[in-house]
Amino acid sequence: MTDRNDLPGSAPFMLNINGAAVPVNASADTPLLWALRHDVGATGTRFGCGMALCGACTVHVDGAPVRSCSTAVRTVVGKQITTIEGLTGPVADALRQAWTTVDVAQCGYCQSGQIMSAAALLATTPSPTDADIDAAMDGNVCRCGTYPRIRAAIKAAAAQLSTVRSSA
Amino acid sequence: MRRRTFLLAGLGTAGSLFVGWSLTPPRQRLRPSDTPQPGGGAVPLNGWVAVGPDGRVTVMSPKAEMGQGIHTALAMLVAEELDCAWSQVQVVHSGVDRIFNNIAAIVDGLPFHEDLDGNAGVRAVRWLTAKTMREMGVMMTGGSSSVRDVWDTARLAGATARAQLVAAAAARAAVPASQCRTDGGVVYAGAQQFTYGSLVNDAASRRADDVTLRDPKHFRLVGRDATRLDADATVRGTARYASDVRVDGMRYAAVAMAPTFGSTVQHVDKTGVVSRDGVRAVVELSGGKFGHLPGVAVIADSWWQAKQALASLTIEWTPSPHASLGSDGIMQQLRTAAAGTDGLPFRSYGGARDVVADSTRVVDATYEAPYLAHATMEPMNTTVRVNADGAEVWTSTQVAGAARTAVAATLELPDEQITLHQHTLGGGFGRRLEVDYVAQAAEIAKALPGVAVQTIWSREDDLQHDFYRPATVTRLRAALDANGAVAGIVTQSAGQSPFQALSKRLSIPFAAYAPDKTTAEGLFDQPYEFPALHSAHTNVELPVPVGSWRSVGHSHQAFCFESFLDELAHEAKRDPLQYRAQLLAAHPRARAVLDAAAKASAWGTPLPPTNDGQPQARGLALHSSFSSTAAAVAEVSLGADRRVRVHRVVVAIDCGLAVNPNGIRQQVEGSVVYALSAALYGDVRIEGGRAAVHNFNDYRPLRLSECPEITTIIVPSAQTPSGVGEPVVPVVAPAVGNALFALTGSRVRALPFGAMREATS
Repeated sequence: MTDRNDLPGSAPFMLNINGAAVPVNASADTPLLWALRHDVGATGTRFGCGMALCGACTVHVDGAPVRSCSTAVRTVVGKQITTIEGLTGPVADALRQAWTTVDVAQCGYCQSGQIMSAAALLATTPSPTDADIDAAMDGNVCRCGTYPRIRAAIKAAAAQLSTVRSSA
Repeated sequence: MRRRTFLLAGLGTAGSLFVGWSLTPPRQRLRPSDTPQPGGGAVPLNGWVAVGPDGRVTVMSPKAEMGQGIHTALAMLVAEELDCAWSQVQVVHSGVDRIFNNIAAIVDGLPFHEDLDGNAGVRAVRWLTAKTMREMGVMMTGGSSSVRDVWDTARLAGATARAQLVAAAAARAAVPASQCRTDGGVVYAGAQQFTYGSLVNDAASRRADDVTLRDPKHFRLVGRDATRLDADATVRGTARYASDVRVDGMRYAAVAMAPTFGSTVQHVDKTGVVSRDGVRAVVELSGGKFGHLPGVAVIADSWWQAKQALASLTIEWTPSPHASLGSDGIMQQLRTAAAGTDGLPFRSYGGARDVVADSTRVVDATYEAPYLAHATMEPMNTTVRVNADGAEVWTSTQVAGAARTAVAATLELPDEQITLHQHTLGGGFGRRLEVDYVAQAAEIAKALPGVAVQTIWSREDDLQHDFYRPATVTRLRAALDANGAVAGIVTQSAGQSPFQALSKRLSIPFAAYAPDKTTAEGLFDQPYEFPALHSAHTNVELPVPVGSWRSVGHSHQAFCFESFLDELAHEAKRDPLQYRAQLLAAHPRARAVLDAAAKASAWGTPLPPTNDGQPQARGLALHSSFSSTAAAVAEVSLGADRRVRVHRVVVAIDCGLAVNPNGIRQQVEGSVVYALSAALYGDVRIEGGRAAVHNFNDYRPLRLSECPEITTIIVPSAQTPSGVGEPVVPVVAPAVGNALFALTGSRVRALPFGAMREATS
């Protein structure tokens, strides 16, 4: 068996994932999703469609929500990649708390992506309207039908963050 | 007529065999064949409950968690009787054991109102049914049966474990057990107290004979809102689905399956592929009786490498014998069968056929429903490692026993040499009642003995190789008297039988003679009273793979029947609510559900226009399935290009005693969304002998911005808990369709609704 590192198109990339430099041994066109799941072992980022149609694989690249199934690893070298496992801070805490209190999840498979999209929304829009939530979350499919609770949890997290801000 | 009587009677008798089994005391379902290994040093007190030295309670669930919340509900039942603290409870999937066979689902599979007549030949049918159930594996999570199935046993498991712990404490404190009480995982024995963890080793060897279950009046957990036990792992991304399994040295497989029905691999050109980056093997697959298809798999170091290598393969497929099969032809074939009169009757009384034939006033309508895919969020996948002494399987399935058997048969090993690790399902909806993807993963892993191989389907694989909800055409005719009241109804439906398809795949003889209740359920088993009814179904054999899709036959027959009832109400110039209420006069439970939905939706009051100035209208539907009754009122309007918009859905459900009201509301919400995706968009077209859907772009799910406001009313009940996961799905499409009629005056008789055509009448 040939050592795959000797083959063309295959190079170790240094990616910055959740604040750590991580070598990824994959070809340049490998989707970030598979690098995360396979090379890094960050399996909280999930495969749903492979065509950026469902959002299950959503991660943050320099803070912006990105569908990792359709993002080649070579395009994210030198950028800050955040996955569900590395999502921290007040927004993350508020969302996780709201998600648990509202009891959003059913099968849970899509929820990493839902939370990553919601976190990106609240980072730029602290008090989202229903239309803001529609726009930010419409790319994230949930077949269990948790949409009403996702909306409620985002509002609850936004309200909690707003209370923290006003009391600070 | 003679033969039909025999057939239904036969299934009834085979059913009574299982009913008898279900009457076996739940106590006998506490003792597993093998000692459970819950891990973490926990000591099993029976097949369902283990307690660790730290007092942590592990509930071993035979029911697969797929989002329906059964792990939380089951833990509530156990903890209610065990008197442990809720924060001490965790749930794991149990192993495969016959004590976990699902009895509720089998009993529920019997046709209601069977025309029983003890008869010769009954034994043959009994044997057939028993064999089928064995093949399918009855350790099943499906049919909205889980809470019903474990209602007595899980509480008894908790109560028995508690009694054992009390016996141990009583002995230690030298006081009678009657002077002990329990609370929060502690036994108070006289002046002393002992944690469960300190007692468990002693308790495990003690017997508990006189166990009584708590009076529901004194329930402390059951009946109150509980949030999910698995929520924290979900929000941190640490939950482990089958596709998240990582095993040392594992490889990944991508697979190309026969694209058209009935085709197989003619030739594979592997040139250049085996030397590609990371590729370990190229495997030709023969497929087999578990519904796994012929095809080619590539095993590589990563799934992406396997997928890329697969794409570079040149595969020639044999021509499909069904290359000209398409939806247009299929629907025409079904319409012809539905127009006939020779279907197998599931219920017939009052001379309904004569009543309709002799009537001068008949309402005659034909309804149509397309094939549907399940589209679970997690595509099918399974990891298998073939070892020297058996095999290990990591998968997520609704039928753990059958999955194990599928691997065993594929590897030509006995079941006992297969270890199956059950993972939380990334969605089930009936798709994971099939074990095709499990057998296939075993066939692939066989090529690399000693290596764990994870086979993952793409979304395209998932949508094109599903076991679809059967396309169905149902003709309904009602004879009306001079006042517009129903004198008799005849329904004749036509479509494939999932049960027969399964039986034939598994080569079970006489399968063609077993009536499949799911083909006509929703038509013959509803609580309405009519003077005469005849409900018959004609099985039409087609090469499209079909299976159980959330609520199965009810999913489409409720649309047909409840839309038709709406037509009859309008024909009689009656309000649809009042019309149904009168037909339910003898069924107060169903009537109460109807009234609850009507009241919560303010039925009969005017609806304001939408924010963009469009008129809205309401539609109503009621349906009984899985021993529960649900009613829905939908509020709809038309948007740009007459696109159907659903703004609010009010649902009332009577599902017996509500074990976890929060979990029930979750399932109601989920059912509305799942059913609305299908009602508005769901359509798996068949073209050129294959499913013409590819991904979420052409098999469109409902998205958040389209999701209606959902209001859930749980009708209070003290009856035994009944189905929750499915019974709301059937009412959604007819409620929307009836609202569209109220809005436009146009009756849409074919799903999906999509955009309304211009009003024609």
